[in-house]
Amino acid sequence: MEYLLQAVTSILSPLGLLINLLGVALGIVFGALPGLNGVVGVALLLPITYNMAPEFGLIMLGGLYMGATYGGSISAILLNCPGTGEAACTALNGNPMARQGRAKEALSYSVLSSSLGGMFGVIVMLLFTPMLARLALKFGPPEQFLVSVLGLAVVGSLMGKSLAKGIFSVAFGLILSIVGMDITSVNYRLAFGNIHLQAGLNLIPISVGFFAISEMLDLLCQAPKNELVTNTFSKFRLCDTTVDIFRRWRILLKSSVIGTIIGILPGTGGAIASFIAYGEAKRSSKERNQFGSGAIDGLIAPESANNAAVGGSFVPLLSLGIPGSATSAIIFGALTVHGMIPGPRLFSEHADIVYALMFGLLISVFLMLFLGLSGTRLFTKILKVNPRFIIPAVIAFSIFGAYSARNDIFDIFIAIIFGLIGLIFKRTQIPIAPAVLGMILGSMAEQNLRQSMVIAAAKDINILAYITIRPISIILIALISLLIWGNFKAGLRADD
Amino acid sequence: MKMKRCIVGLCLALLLGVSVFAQGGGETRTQDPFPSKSVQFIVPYAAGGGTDSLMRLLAKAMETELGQSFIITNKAGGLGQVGLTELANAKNDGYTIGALSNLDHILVLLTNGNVGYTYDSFEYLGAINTTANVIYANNKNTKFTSVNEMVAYAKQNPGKLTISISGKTHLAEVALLEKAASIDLTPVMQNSGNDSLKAILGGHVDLAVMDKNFVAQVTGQGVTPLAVFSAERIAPVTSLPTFTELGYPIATETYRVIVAPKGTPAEICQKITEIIRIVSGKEDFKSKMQSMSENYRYLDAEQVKNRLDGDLKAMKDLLTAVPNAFN
Repeated sequence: MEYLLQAVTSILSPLGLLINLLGVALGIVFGALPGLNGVVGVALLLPITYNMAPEFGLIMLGGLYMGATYGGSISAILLNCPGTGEAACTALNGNPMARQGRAKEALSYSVLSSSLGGMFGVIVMLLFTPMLARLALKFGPPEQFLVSVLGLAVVGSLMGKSLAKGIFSVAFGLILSIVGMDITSVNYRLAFGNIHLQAGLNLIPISVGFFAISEMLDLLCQAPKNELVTNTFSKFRLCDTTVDIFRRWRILLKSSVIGTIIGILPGTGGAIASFIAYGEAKRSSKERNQFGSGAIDGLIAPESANNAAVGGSFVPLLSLGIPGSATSAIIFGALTVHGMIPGPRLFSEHADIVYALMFGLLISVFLMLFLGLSGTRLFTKILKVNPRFIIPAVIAFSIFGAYSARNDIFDIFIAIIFGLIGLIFKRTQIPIAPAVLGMILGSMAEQNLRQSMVIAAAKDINILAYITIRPISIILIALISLLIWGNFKAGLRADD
Repeated sequence: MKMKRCIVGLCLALLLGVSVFAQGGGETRTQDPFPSKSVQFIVPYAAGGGTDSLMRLLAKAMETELGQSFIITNKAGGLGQVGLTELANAKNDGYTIGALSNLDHILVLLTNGNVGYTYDSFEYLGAINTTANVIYANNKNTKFTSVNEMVAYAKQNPGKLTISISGKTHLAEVALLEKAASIDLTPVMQNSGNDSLKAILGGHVDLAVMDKNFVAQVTGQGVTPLAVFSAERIAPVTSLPTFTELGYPIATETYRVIVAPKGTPAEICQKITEIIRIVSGKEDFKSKMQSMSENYRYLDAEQVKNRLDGDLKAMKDLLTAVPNAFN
């Protein structure tokens, strides 16, 4: 209790609030700029926190992580340039809304659902961390493999009109995930003796190329316009949006639960969370026929899920010392530099700092809501800027982002090449999101399947039995069947 | 028209890419004492990792001492191969230096085809830390409290024990243990030490090889550390026996070496070694290292080269005895 009070004092002190606000604001900027994201932002700010009091450093990094996860939706909605996989699904419905002149409405839905999802994840983390951490440990290679299959099953809801093109796109992404070192056999695959390919393809340059650069090249090739969106902004009232979003509480709650659980699982993250939430939303929503052309359910599901994953990803970090996502892995670094060892003893030895991080995240959610709502008017101004200024700016940031992922010039060329491939995809009506999904999930699916095979062989168990005859596996298999059936049924109906 | 716009856009993108990152050429006057401008410090691992955190600490201390900035550049990939290729090909004027991890470096050279540098592509300048890996057992799957119990079980059940590892260094250590104890384990490769931790805490594997710093993390969670791979007992886990004590002649340790490209002038190399000795010897630096759970151990250029030569020989011997140790 004493620690709690101490933590609350530092969070609510003017400095604590200011640092939190700074973290969230920087996060939104990092998230919104194509190519930059929470991982890059946290990595950049990490050295600064070395010289700060640990609680303030962690509050800033936590705020940045929260803000960046929401920030991606701004560029996804306004420019159709989701910088990362986290916002890829948001663009599918958010951008059509913006083009219909409903940009402010879309942005409000996005910040509201991000905040509600974020709050859900943080509250779950605050209340149930030790219990959920034990649950996370139950997910071994077989369960992790099935989670990635569940993610891949979402492809059915991403592929638009043609089944064949959707499958092609996801297969393309899966092949990309193979490039580089195969960790099971410690051998190189598809590297052609090239040292850069041996290091594997990084997700950031590829998603920047696929989403941002290809979109800008597409704009370049269109007839010159003076504005991105020529439709006039339709009027909307914030209180209507707020009432409406609470009317959709079922989908919000479901997506937040999905996001939190996926966040808790180590090796996953907000991107997988938002894909799965999107797939489930499309399966069950009444608006499923409008998905892809501005469905509000399709916007709030991924946005609440990816922010819910933020809180979730801290669960295994704080209780076991295993980071739940790439960003929390870097925050792990910030803890160790201050001599704190994440794990069960963290709560007993550094309770004040842990509480500062946990409650700081809660404050970050409110700051994010405040910044997001008050920024809506400002953000939408970008739609009235002449594309001739936007295109070079987005391309410049994309290239900067591609480079900063690994400080490698090679990644710039990767981003440009995938910008061109993305343009070809767009022209041939092949959906891009499944390729990114395949790339994110490919190595996770493969590694866990192969680990399962190695373990099953060592223990003389049939591999199928090893994967399927486990309590969590049975639940996951049921979910996978449900998702595949629901989406393909919808697909078949659309073909008639 | 459309085509032309696309081409113009692409050229713009390429131009931006090249111009933003082209290095601004600064002239160095040779008569100035080193360093007269900022030094690039290549860390061939990701930001936030063990090597990175330690080298950032060192770079900052050297910066304070010399009044020139040491700019850390992370070039991760292929067990350090990506960053080291760049370092090996950098100008050898002392203004590009880097760091490497001993066994990763040697194993890349011995087991990867097509490496763009050799063992002799670097000047090995010094080292400031040492750490070692520990073998852990899950208490639920196994009741092992000592290495001997584990070996006895493994002899009766060849290949049945699964062991989580991450990286080639661990693979080498498992191979050394298998050879020394005449047993057969089944390695399960993980992406990182954290993934290994999850696998052993969850009981999905029986054993794991992880850094000694994980001992504190697994305490009280149903995982028992059995022994340490280093030649001597290592702080803060001095209660753990070494394999050598237990009768298995294995001695591997991990340390980060500060290196420069081959042909960097001898006086500059000596100066860097000397600066590393001075800054790392300060109490403040040592206590910062301790709070990062790093064990301080300074090695000068000659000592570090001798140790690396020893590691190289040990790994070559392993490959001669067990040619498929890494397949």
